[in-house]
Order: sequence, then structure tokens, then C-alpha cells
Amino acid sequence: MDINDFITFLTRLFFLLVAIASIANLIRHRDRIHADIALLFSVLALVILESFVIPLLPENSLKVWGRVVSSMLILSVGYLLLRLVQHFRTVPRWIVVGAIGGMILSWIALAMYPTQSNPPLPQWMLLGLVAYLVLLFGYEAWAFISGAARTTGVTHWRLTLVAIATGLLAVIFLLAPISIALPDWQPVMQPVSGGLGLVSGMLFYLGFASPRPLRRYWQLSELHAFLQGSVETDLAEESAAQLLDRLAKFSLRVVGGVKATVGLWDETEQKLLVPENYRNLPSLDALLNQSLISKVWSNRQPLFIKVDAQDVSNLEGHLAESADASSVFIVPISKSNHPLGLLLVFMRYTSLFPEDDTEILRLLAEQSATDLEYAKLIDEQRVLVQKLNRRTSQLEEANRELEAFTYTVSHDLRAPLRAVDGFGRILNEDHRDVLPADGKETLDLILQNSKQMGLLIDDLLMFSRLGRSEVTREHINMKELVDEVLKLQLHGVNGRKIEVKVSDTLPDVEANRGLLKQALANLISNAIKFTRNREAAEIEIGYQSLNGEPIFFVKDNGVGFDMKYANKLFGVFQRLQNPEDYEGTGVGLAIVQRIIRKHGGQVWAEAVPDQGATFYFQLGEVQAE
Amino acid sequence: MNQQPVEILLVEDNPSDLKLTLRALQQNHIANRIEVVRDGAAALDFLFATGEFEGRNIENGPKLVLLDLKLPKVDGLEVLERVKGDKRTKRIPVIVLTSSREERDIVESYELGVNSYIVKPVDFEQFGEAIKQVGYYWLLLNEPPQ
Repeated sequence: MDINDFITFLTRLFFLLVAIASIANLIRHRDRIHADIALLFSVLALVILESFVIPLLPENSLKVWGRVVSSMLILSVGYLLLRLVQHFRTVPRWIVVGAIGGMILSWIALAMYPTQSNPPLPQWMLLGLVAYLVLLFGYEAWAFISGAARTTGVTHWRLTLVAIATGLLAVIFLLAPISIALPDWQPVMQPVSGGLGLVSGMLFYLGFASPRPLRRYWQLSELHAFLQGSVETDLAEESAAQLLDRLAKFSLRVVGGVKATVGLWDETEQKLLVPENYRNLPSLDALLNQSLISKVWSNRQPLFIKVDAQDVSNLEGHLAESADASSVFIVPISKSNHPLGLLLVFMRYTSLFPEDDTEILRLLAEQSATDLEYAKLIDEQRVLVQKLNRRTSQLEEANRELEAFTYTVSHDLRAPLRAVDGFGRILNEDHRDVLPADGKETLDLILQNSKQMGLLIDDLLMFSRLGRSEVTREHINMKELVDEVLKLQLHGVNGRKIEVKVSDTLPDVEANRGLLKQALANLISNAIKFTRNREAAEIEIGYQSLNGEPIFFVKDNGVGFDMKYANKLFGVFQRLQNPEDYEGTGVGLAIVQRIIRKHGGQVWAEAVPDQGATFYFQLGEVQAE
Repeated sequence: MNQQPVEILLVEDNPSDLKLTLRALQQNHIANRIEVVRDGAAALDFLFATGEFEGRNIENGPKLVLLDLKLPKVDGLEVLERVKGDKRTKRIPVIVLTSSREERDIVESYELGVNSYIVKPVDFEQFGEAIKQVGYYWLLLNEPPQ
């Protein structure tokens, strides 16, 4: 087998493969496109099969007629390719008529000269035939090229390959008269034609019966381009409508459609919402009641259908008419079986490769579904954040009102109380002598209570002021501050034996001096107060280290308290001791807690009844405010 | 029209507080000649010898103003602003007396040139003490600029 034979063998092999694949596709899909493709390649396959059969024919005349039939079949390829072109573009009527006419004329010519001579036909007839085929193939190659240019998807690549293959056929037929006219060149021309035939066969094979891996590769590169777009857009900024818009535009380009429309499924309203710029088509949600689209919707499987635009009685026909289309891809957008939307891409005629187009649209819709889901989550999150902000500002407002109320109440309570106290004192100073014993006692109780209430109001005012004040921090020498507070607190205590121990190594802190001093004063005065009944009171102020953060404590050996009341310790007006035994307003520890919390810290206590209490506090991180 | 020099102008609307303040002043023998007005407008009339006080000699004092902040008609801060903004009266020491401990009020008062600020304590004893201290300081110890 020489190289020419090998090339011929390969060429035949490819065309046979294409024929088998296209017949298999026809059996699967049973529609006109597949029928036309199968017809084209079956004809070519027949020619090839005939070439095996003819030499085996017994009679010479049969061989001659066999060759005539072969030639007739080859000549019909031009028209058969034109039928394919008609599926994706309008072919002027005169071209169709010309193609059919040319085919019939060439058949007649062949039938008239069933000879074995070389050339078999008169030269002028041969030239006419070549011109016919070259023009027809040329037109078809151009049609495939322009079809490819309108699409970007798999179809683009397949049409491009078919266009090149068709163009090569035109070249082969152009070479035929040259080899006939110049027989000397035949040894050169034959391998060239053979080579071109092989390449053409391969390209037809790749274009019309594209192997799955190749189609996958084209699909992936398309999907990649789409993903690139979604990577470049900030999903957080892109609304669902924008996402759908991008999907529609991209899909339109991929399959070379005339119009695309999208709908977004509204869960609460249970209908498809069509974005503003897609309202030019009849409302989509009405479509869901249509049997075909509701099938797509419920199966979550994309569908490609031809629509009779004349039949405007059904909605699909109406849609197709308004889009000036004759077929449509209906693609559900769903995520884990959860409907999110619908994509419709209208085609002027139909798609040459509907399975590939459906598949790529399904992939794009799938990707968009993921993005939509994400956009939806972001939207929901945004709504939640808004809610939270609203709630926060309501709370802040309520808090401000409460603070203002507390302040006003406390403030306005002072004036009448001052009068009660003031006039009580005047009574006491000027007229005590004339009061009977129980009158004096009553007056003392009035004065005592008004004083207590004054303290209470002062404490409440301070507590309320703490809520409003900002904490500004400064560097504080803790040891000095503790000593300062101790000096003040011990000043009024006479005749008691109090042993105070202060750690020499108290670490410095960053805190608000005024507030911290107040907190320390409250804790230390409590320690002094609740050790009143101890013969030898012991108060210790020190610290422990936890994870490098100091925890300060004020420890006493006083009355302590039952730990089961520990949770009540820091509440306003909460008292764990009898007011007759230990004076106080019940606000002191609440103030301490508020001060420490204002610093982002914590305060807690441990105690054993009648053995003493320890109050711990930790100031928060400097940033935590 | 009383043309006697006045030592203290007491501006106070609350009758109880007024009575208590007067008692504290008298008990401590701080001042004998005290003029009392019950609202901000009257205080301004007195200080600038207008309205019902027309014809009063501004030269006759007061040597000290005790001013409540929350007053009817014209509030204390406005009175303070007018007093400190007028060159005839700006040298008169003004002591703000009020229940308000609000820092805002305090700062504002000082910005307007208040000389002292007393938060009226509930405890009358403390109140009397505060009045005494302030009175002594401003009337007896402090030499007003000539």
C-alpha cells in the first residue's frame, strides 16, 4: 500500500465514521436536522462503499453505470450541504433553485455519457459542472463561517470546522479540471487532492460528529469565559437582576440566538419576575401554566423546541412571534432542585447542534444558580444587618431615654427632699425643746430617712452618669491610686483595728482615673464596712496574673455572703445585708460593675458567710470599649 | 425706690430653697442686705435697673449674685451671659446655685465666666456650709478689682 492508497483509506474511514455517527444521532433524535446531516453523510458513505463494490461487478456496463451513480451522488453533496445551511440562516430562493437545477442538469449530463473514457464528459460540460460545485461549496463555506461568527459556544467551533471542510471540498473540485486539462501534473495533483480530501473528511468528522472530549473542552472554555466574568464582578454588589442579565446576554452570544429573556422566581409571591429590561416579551409567569414550560420547570431539565410562530394561539407561538424566532431553548435555573429562575433563548431558525447548545446553556444556568443563591444570601444578610442596625438604634434610643429619665427623676427628687431635710432641721434646731419624746424620735426618723434618700439619689445620679460617660484612658500607677483611696476611706474610721495589706507590685493599668478611683473606693469602703464587727479586720489588696492580664482583688475577713446570692450582688438596689446592720444604698457594687464593664472588663466575687469576701476585677483590653 | 446698696442678689424660684438659702445666709451673718427676685427677667431688670427697678443706681451693687440655673422666663445661663457680657456688670461675681450636677451645665457656666458653682446638696447642713464658704470668700475675702 503506497502513501496515496493510505490517504485514500484514511479519508474513506473518516467519512464512514461520520456517516455512522450521524445515523446514530438520527436514531436518537429523529428530527429534520439530524435527518439532513445523516442524509449528507450516508450519500458520501454510499459513494465509498460503491467504490469497493464496483470492481467486483461482473459486467463492464454495470461497472460503468455504477460509476455514473457514484458521480451523481457526489454531485448531490452540494445541495445536501445547502439543506444544512438552511437550518441556521435564510438562503435566497434563487440559490436553492439554482442548486437543485444544477444538480438535476448534472445528473442528466452524466446519464447521457455513461462512458469509461477520460474525460468522460465534453470539456465545456465538465467546466460547467466544476463551476457549479465550486460556487455552491464556496457559498456554503461562507454561510458556515458567518454562522460561526454569530456564536461563541461549541457551535462556533463546530461550524468553523464544517466551514473549512466545505471550503476544502470547493478547492478539490476546483483542482479537478486542472488535473484533467494537464495530465502531466496528475502525479502531483492526486496526492494534493487526496490530502485535501483527508483533511476535509477529518474536519467534517470533528465538526459533525465531534468526539465527546473535544466538545467537553469547548464547553469548558466557554464556561471558563463565563466564570471569568463572574469572578470579575463583585457578587456582593451585583443584584439578582444583574446576574440574570449577564446570563441572558452571554447565552444569547453562545448559541447565536436572536433574543433571550430571563425570569427570577419569587418564592414569596410564587411567580416569575421579569427584570425591567426584559419586559419587551409577554409576561413569563403566564408561561408556567403552559404545559411545555411547566414540564421544563418541574423536571428541571432544559429543553429545545421548535415553535410554530404562526400558531399564536399558544403562548409559545406568541412568544416566538414577538421574538421573530422559530425555536427556543428553555432552561430552568435551579439549585439542588430548588427553582430560582428560567432562561429562554430564541433562535431565528434552529440550532445545528441543539444538544451542545442545550448542554452549555444548562452549564451556564447552573453556574448562575450558584451565583444567584449567593446573591440571595448576601441580600438576606443585608436585610438582617439593616434590621440589626434598626434594633440597635432603637435600643440606644430607649437607653438614652431611660438615662434621661433616671437623671431627671433623680434631679427633680432632690429639690423637695432638700426642703424636707432643710425644714426638718429648722424644726429640730428651733423647736426641738417643745417636742415630746416621741415627737423628737419621729423628727429624727424623718431626718435620717431624708438623708438616706439623698444618698440614694446621689448614687443613682452617679450610676446614670456612668452610663452616659465615655471612658478615656490614661496610664495609672495602681499602687499610688490604691494608697490614695485607702487614705481617704480610712480617714473617717476611728477606734478600729484594721490591718491593711497592699501588694507592692500592683501593676500599672490604662484606665479612666476618676472612674477607677470610684470603683476602688466603693470596694474598699465595703470591705471596711463589712468587717465592722471583727476585732481585727483584715483587708488585702493584691493581684493575680492570668494569661499576662492582671486580676486585682480586694479581700476582707468580714461577714461575707452566701454564694447562692452572688448573682444578685451587682444589681441596683440589691442588698445582701440588713440595712439596720450595714448602712448603704445598694447601688455601690452596681456602680463598680458599670465602671469595670465600661472598661470592657469584668468583676466577680467569692465569699463564705461569716468568713469574708473577695472581690475580683479585671480591666479589659485597651481597645475593648 | 430703695436706693440702699445691696450686698447679695438672690435669684431663686423655688420657695423652699429660697427660705433655706436665706436662713443659711442669715445664720452665718453673711449679709444683711439681700435682694430676692424670683425669675430671670426680674434679675436682669434689677441688675440693669430696668422695668420695675428703673431708676435704681447700678453703682449700688450687688456685690454678689447667687443665681439658680432653672428659672422661669429667662433661664439662669442667659442671665449669666448678659451679666458677663455687659461691662457695667461683668465684674460682679456670680455664683451658680443649682440642683444640676450635669457637667454640661458646669462647663457652660464656666465658659460664660461664672465665678463659682455650687450644687445644692440635699443635706441642709452641707448646704448651709456651702453657702457660708462661698459668701465668706466672695464677700469678705475676695477683693473685687477696682
